[in-house]
Formats: sequence, C-alpha cells, structure tokens
Amino acid sequence: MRQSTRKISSVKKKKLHGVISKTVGNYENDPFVVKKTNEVRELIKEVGLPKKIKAGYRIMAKRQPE
Amino acid sequence: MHFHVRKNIYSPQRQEMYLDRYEFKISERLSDYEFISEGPQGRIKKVARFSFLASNLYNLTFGDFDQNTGKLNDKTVTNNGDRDKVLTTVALIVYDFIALYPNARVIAKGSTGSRTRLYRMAIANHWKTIQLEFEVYGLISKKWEVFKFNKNYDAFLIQRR
Repeated sequence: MRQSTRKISSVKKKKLHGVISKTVGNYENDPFVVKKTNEVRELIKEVGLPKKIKAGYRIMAKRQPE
Repeated sequence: MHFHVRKNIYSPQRQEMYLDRYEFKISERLSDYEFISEGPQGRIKKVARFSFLASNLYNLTFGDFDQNTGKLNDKTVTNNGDRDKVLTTVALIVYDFIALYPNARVIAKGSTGSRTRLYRMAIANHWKTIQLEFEVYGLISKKWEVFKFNKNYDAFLIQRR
C-alpha cells in the first residue's frame, strides 16, 4: 500500500480505537498471510461475492489501499 | 438523492461494550495491526493484516507472531485466558479499518473450523452494535447468506451499511 503525507494527515483527524505507530511491522509478505490471502482469493473466484442489500446507501470511497 | 447519515460509532453504548480490550497499534500503511495478549502463558504478540484482494475487497489474516521464527501463524492454541478480550480487540480493529476505508469489504476465514467459529463468536458477541452499522454475510455450502446465529459458516464478509 502506498502512503502519502496527505493520507496521514487526514487519518489523524479520524477517531480510531488504535494508535498509528511506526513500530508496527509490515506483514504483507509473511508466508502465512500470503497463503491465507491466496486461499481466500481462490475461494472468491469460486463462490463470488454476496449481492449488496442496500446498494444506494454506500458511500463512495475517496481512497483505498492498493 | 439519498443522504446517508452515519451513526455515531463512539456512542456510550459502544464505549461501555468495548472497555475490556487490548490497546492496539496501527501501521502507517494502515494495513497491519498489532497488540499484546497478556495472561498465564505470558505476553503474546497478535497481528491482524488486511490484504488487498480486489477493488474494495480485503482479506483479514489474524494470528500469533512467533518470536522464534519471526513469522505468523494461527494454528497455535494460546490458552492465555483472554479469548473474549482478544475477539473484542479484533472486532475493533475491523471497525478501525472500515472507518479508514468506508467502502471496504472485509473477508475473514479461519485456517481451521474452530478458528472460523471464533470469528462467528466475535460477531455474535457484539451483534447488537455491529448490526447497526454493518452488513454481515456468512458463507455456507459455497453460498453467501445474511449472517444468522448458530450456523457454522466457512467464512464471513463484513461491510458498512
């Protein structure tokens, strides 16, 4: 995921239960994470996704992680 | 035109419900979350990671950080006597992630049936609050359905209403 200065500043305005910290590791390439993610990716290919119940109520996202 | 009024996620009801939880840290990339479980077995680092699957779709991986290998796993049974506290913390981590990415849909699937049942318990424990803000689906027999109690789902999908 890319991280920009703008993103950080906007995140700081949000009330979160957790605290943003530089000490947290990056587990993107952890073998267990990769394995689980691939499993779920294959599962979704097979079963698809549920249809949204209230499509009109979704808020358009201004950003999303990659 | 539809106007969506977001409910106050910091209501007194929720504050009270989530008092018994661990403090957790969020990575600057907003995708990795860590907290420390404390109990009879000692201090165990727990990690939650949201991985990109497709547009607005993320997989939640949750597990213990093994100090010996430097890697994650969710096969170990911690027995640290804090199951509910851990589940509450994971629920709040999902809240935070969706607060950061309001259009995100998060899929959670345990590596074993018992782990997936734990996710169900986490949802069921906080259902009164969760249902106000989120739609939750369960996967059973390769079909998604709206979450119901007492069903052994294979996976869950949660998204903001």
